[in-house]
Amino acid sequence: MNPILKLTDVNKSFGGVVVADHVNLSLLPGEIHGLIGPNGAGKTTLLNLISGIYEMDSGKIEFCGKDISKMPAHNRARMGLGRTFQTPRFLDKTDIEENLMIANDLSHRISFFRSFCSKKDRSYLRLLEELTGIAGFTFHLEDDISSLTFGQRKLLEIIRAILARPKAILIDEPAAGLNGAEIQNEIRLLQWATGHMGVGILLIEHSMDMIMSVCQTITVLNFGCVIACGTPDEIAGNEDVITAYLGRDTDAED
Amino acid sequence: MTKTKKMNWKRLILVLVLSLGVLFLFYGLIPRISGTYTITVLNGALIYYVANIGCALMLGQCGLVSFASVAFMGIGGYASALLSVRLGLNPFASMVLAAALAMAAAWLLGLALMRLNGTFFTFSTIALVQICYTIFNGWKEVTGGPNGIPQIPGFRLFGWEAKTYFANYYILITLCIVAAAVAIRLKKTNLGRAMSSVRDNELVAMSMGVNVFRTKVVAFAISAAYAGFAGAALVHSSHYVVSTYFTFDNATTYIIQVMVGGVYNVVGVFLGTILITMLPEWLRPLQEYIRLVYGLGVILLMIFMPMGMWGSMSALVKRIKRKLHIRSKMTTIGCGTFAQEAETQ
Amino acid sequence: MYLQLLIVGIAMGMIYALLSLGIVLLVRAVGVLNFAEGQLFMLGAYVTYALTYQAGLPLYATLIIAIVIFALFGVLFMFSVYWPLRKSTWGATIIISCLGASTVIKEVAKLIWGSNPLVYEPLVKGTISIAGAKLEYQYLFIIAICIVMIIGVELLFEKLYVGRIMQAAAQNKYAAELLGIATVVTVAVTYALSATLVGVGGWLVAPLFLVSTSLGDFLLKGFAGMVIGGYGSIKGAVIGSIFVGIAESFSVLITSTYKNAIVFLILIIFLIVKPKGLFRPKISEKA
Repeated sequence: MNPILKLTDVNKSFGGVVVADHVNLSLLPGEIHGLIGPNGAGKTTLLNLISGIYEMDSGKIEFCGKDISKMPAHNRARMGLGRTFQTPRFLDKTDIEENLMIANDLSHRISFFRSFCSKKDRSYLRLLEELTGIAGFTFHLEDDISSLTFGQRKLLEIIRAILARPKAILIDEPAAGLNGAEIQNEIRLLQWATGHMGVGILLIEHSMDMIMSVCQTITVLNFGCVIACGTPDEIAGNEDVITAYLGRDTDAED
Repeated sequence: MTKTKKMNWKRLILVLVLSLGVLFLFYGLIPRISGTYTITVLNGALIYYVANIGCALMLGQCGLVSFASVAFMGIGGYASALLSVRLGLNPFASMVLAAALAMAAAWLLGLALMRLNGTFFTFSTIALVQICYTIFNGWKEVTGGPNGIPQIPGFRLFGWEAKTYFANYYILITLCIVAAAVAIRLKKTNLGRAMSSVRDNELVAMSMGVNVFRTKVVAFAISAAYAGFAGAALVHSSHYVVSTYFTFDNATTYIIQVMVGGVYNVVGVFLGTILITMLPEWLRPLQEYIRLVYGLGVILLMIFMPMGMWGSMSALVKRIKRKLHIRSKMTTIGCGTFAQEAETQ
Repeated sequence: MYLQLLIVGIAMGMIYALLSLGIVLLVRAVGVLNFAEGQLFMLGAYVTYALTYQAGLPLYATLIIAIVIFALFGVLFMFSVYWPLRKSTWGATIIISCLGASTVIKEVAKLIWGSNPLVYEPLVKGTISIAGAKLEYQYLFIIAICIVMIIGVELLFEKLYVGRIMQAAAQNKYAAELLGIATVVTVAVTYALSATLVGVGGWLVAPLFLVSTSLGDFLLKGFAGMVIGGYGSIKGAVIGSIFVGIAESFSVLITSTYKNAIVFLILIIFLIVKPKGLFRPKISEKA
């Protein structure tokens, strides 16, 4: 199977601080790929590089077999690269419906004049209903985003990403701030996306339970370098990873 | 399934009744009860309203503070005046051309100015207003400078000519309704949503495939088209155009009109425009204190109703609705309503 | 001729510098663009006019009382237009209320002093002839006073402890409050300072232009200078404003009709070519 997303030798530094150092990574369709590492390892930066919010210094990013290294962020999204954020980001001056319609617009991409003349598109509601059922909460389309709890917002952000019918989603710390039941629902949501839609998911997470249970592959970053990549079992036994997380013995004595 | 149809019928009837009421109000009641003077003032307000819709599009929908609409009003106004006076074009044709010209100018300027963010863009629009005013005032061969261009033809269509203020009123109110309808519709399109996303969160916009730069340029161009159209309507209804119509002071008044009414909604913009234009008439007994009261009122409104009159009103309605749990079942997600609907289809 | 234009340009540039400094101080402290600054400037001219001619005070008393009035008015302005709106999530509300305030100030001035322009006699009468061109002493006087004030502001913010506290409070209100710096005081002081700067500016230009409500239009030139110099930077605001003054003064050589247009054209070109201005500010944009 060809990877849907492939990073080759990606480099990035901010004023001398290297945040991505020759990163290689490949994401298969239908796979949940964990991206872990200690704080400050450059995980979120890597996501920003992939989604095009930052420009990389050198290297190559391929998506669906196409080189997107120089492509602006919105075109990457249009190709089917979804994204969620560490703290959920929504349009806060409008209602939930508009927030979700934006994703629907992305999946349909009709011309402005057709959009101007046609009726309100409600076809996405069926998918939305199914996803919300999995996520396990209810909401009203005309309410503001502020009527949802933090956990619900995180779930809704993932739903929004799926509604855009992407080929790959980059998810940044989905479990942070969620309770146990919500995390279970979230995992089901992610697995539904990979199973039913063949989406490849690149997942940053600090909760090892979640990473170990849902990921097929795990990449470990430390100081911008990939220090290990493999199945959860391989990672769990990897010396370098343990050292990176716990610090070397000499460090520990300090 | 039948239930949803019934709901739609109810809505349709409500919309129909409401729009008939509005039409009756504007075409029947208002011209009947107001005198020539009130209608003259009202005509002015209606013209500003068209420009203000464009301004609200920038401010409320796209989150960009722009003073430029007065400059584009000037461009549209002078263009339409020259086209109709020198080339003898029908005012309606010249108005459309003027709006197109203003839009094209804004498009080109937008390509440069939209690279600036936030406050810098606002500054550049201030500069734009000043430059345009200086040109309008200085280029005497074309614009007539401080003397302006007199004897601009009024609205005429198929041999009929708008000679009275009332005739102008009917034309202007029709233009306003069309302009507002287009704006309402625009809000519900993918472009409208793209603009909201640019306003609220550029990162979301990008990750949802919205071209932030292009959306801003388009919003600027559309708002300029509205302004250009309004400027053209202004010169044809007053048969005169002069540079003092397009000063920076006027630009601030327009922004105030938009903010006072409420930036998100065309009705709010209408209320704001009418209020600010009619206020001097209503406050006439106060005489020289009018502008003072107006300034104080603006400050107080911003303190107590930062979202404008309409914004505060709709927020209140929303809160009451939530308290009373008035919600249509149509919008509840997560209870299986739409899953069933899909099955029956 | 050129020398004369240069001196006039520098003098006007200094006036714009006072205005743009007034704006920059507020931008740095509270992230607000004060659109009423031009009216505070105008008020400076009116207040000093009233103290000199209507109250008949001598120069030193006029100055002292005027500065006290400016400072108090700045604080009043802050509590009415900025403080109630400081938590507003919608940046445009403060701009609009500033516009409202500028109307109020203008109208109050009109009510008190009438709408006819008033004549303010120059402090130092007469003209000096430099290289064959006549120049009013007032221009030189303006340059001298402005230099003193600008250096004063620079010292306050770059060297003195109080200025550092004010900057700290501007950069992070929350942290400043934790450290026991009452932001309400620093903000009030900033407003007072800003009003004083532009008030004195108004006093300085009063003899050159008539005292009238149209003095408020100087604001836009101050904006231009501030942006060209680098939005948020004190040094930039001064240099940018002087640049604007000189450019405006020399543009007479090319055209007198489009004098204004040239200044603002330069502004737009600057914005596009060098959007961050000549000097990058130390703090990031908050508004």
